[in-house]
Amino acid sequence: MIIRINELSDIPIYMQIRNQIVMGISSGELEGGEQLPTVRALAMEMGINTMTVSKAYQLLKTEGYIMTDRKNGARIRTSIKQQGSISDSNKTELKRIVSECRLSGVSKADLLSLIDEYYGTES
Amino acid sequence: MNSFFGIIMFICLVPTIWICYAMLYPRKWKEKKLIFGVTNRKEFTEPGVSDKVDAVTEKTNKAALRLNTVFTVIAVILLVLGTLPMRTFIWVMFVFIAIFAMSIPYACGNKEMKALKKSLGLSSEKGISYTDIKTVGTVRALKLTAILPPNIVGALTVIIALLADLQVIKTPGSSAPGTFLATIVCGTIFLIGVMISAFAYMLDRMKSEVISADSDINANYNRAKKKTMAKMNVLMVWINAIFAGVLSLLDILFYSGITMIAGIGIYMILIMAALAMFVHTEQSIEKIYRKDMTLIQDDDDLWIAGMFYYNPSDKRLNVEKRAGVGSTINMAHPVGKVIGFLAALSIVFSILVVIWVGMLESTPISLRVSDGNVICHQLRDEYVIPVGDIESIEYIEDIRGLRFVRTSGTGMETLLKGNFSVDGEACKVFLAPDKMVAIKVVTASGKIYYISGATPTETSSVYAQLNESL
Repeated sequence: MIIRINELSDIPIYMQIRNQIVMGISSGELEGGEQLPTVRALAMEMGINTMTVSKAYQLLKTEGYIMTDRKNGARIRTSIKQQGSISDSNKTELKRIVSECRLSGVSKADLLSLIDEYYGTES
Repeated sequence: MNSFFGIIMFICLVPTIWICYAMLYPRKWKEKKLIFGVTNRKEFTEPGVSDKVDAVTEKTNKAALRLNTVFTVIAVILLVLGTLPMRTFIWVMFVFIAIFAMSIPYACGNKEMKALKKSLGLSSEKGISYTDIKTVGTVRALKLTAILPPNIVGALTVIIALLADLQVIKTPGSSAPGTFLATIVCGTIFLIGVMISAFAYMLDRMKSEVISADSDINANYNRAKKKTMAKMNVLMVWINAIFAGVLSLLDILFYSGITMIAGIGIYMILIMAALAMFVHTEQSIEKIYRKDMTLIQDDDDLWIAGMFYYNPSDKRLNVEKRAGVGSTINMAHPVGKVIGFLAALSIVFSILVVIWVGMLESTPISLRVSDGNVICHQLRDEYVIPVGDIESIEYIEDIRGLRFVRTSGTGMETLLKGNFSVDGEACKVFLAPDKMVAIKVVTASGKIYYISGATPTETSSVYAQLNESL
């Protein structure tokens, strides 16, 4: 699973890591129970601060995507709690994306087919 | 003896420049990941562009080939001439110039490729980096069981040398008691082995490259590369331990005729062979994986002349080299800046040392009797022996029967100067060994000197004067 970091992006690096790990879990590239690299190893490999990776892992843990313990490090949760609802922040983000699509002339059908494609492939 | 130095320098230089040529100047650029340190983009293979890349590579490769041929011919001439005046200076300066000059066509090629890229509207991905989460910390090839044994052999040579120097072990040839020469030589060689091992460990833990979206391809590619690197480093440590450590120890302790210089010669040949094998395997790996390289990170702008990495956003100190073998430092890293400064300083210092050696070689020593003193003089060094203190003198017509072991000072083919052990006796030496003659002076206080002038005539004249005075 490849993580692409853009240092010049407005999105903080820890959030980029978090987002891509979430996408990796969703797409099945990262399976339940799979070991994640240690904070130090990942930071060294990416050439970033350990605090940045630690922050991403903390966030993933709080959101229930990964579990961590001293002995085994970080692992993907085998069962991720399914709330069945979209969070407020994601709703806002989705609203922004839909708005931008509408303004740039993307049809609703195209947008829905894209969602179908992503949702369908990744489910 | 005279040609050994030339042979060693020849062995060091000629294979090095040809290995550099094979590594830096690709003949089939389409099979390579990088062309003169510039990422080989798929756009380069398009019709019209491909010809331009062909032209750049052909021109640069030809320039490098010409340079290499010239340097090889000069090296052969220097080797054949053998006994040149100031040959240490000439050889070392020549090696410096040749290795530096070899990178000039590469830097020019890099500039031209970057210009071509710009003209095609291609740019580097600024601030983008890829990491394969599945290869982080999992791709390791260096095994402790492989790197430890040669270091143990190296450590054993140090222990044996120390025991021999302390006279705990009696050896037939050890003729330099008190100098700890064997311990110093074996200890240095052992430390080189430890340094290679530490470097190997560091290389094994370097960032895995991302060449594809497929983690398995990334893992296999990095594993293959690290395995080759680990094998080469283990081989280097073995060569270091056996050929340098053991041969030096045999030579020093048993004076068996297997000279240390011959050992160094074999050592250099094997190191070069290992390096050539490594480069060949590396190139084969690149060739095999070329078709899988679908995700190559283009960070060309972070590489100055395709050789020096400068990325302030990268917290890593070590990154894989683009030109050559192993790793290089991030010049934007605070430690990298210090290392870069020290490296520049060491280059300047090395050049000054070579110039100093040249001055030592070109300035003849002088020996004279003046105001009741025997004065040996060269550059800033002067030995003064009061004639009144001299107890006995002996004229030695051929010094080849004596064994000079340097404790401190200068030991060159044309100059021996400083504290030496001569056939087991601690002495002060100030002579031109290539002139074969010397005067052995023993003072009332028991000090022993071996001195000579720049010519046998000068030496015999001083001997005659001293004989009259005594």
